[in-house]
Amino acid sequence: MENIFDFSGKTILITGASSGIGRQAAITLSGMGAKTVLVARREEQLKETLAMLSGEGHIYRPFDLTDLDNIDTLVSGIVSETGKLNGLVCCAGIAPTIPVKSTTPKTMQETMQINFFSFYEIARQFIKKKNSADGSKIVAISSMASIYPEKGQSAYSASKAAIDAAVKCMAKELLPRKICINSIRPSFVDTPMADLFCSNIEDGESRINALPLGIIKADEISSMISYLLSPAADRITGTSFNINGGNLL
Amino acid sequence: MTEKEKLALLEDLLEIEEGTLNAETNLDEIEEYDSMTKLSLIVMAEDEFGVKLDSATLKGFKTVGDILAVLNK
Repeated sequence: MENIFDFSGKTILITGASSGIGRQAAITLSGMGAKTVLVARREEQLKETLAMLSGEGHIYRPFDLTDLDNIDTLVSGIVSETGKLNGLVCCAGIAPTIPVKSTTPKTMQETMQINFFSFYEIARQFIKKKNSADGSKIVAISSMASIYPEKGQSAYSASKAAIDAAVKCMAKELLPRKICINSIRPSFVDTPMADLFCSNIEDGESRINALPLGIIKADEISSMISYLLSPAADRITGTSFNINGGNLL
Repeated sequence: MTEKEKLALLEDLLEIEEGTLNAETNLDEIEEYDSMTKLSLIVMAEDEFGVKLDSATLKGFKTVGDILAVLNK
């Protein structure tokens, strides 16, 4: 029987691959045979991720995704080396925890820039025929905060809700090329970003510990990413999947 | 920045009347000093003074003077 989670011969570009969900996605997908292209700002951490991967042929590109004007050059440069891409996983993001009254236009701009605008622009470049194969898949990491935000997450939740909304529209436009695009909404994931939330929010740790099924592991998110990139999800597009640790409120 | 100016910044942050605070004011007695205000204090300390406040430092604050002392750095 064919293994539909065999990614041999597939090339997947992963943003935010220097840590957290992005790093874990690279590890999981490489274990399933994919060639990965790792993108993030921090070169040293990208090298660390690279050393954790299975198989050969992975590459990394240190790049600041807030440099929106040069994402086209980034993607075309990658494609000239790897050939057309088969998947895009967008994990790059920041999670400011700031009350509304202290959320300045600058904070809002920074948050939207990395969490939403960079996702949008790299997806826009990815979907060009010269850059991706028909039937490719895109997965964006949103957040449960997009629908059930905590206090202090107005900028963050707005940026993630923007992803979910754009995904639905993009899905419709990408149907002719059978490119599927979906987002994943994790609750608290055991990553450096959750550590930051704990240190900023007084009762952050107790809120995380209150998840009925426990804090979510990064490899549980990467399993969903793998599923959505695989042929098993060929008929799924324009959807956001909650991974909520049992927190249904 | 003078102590008076810093007190004015804190009063603005807490949205309380000017001249309400002094260094001896106990933070427990300020109703507006809640978890969201503490987050705003973190932002203000970094933006205005270049001081990064961690949760341990925040928990250690008992009086307005404790905050002023950190903002003096």
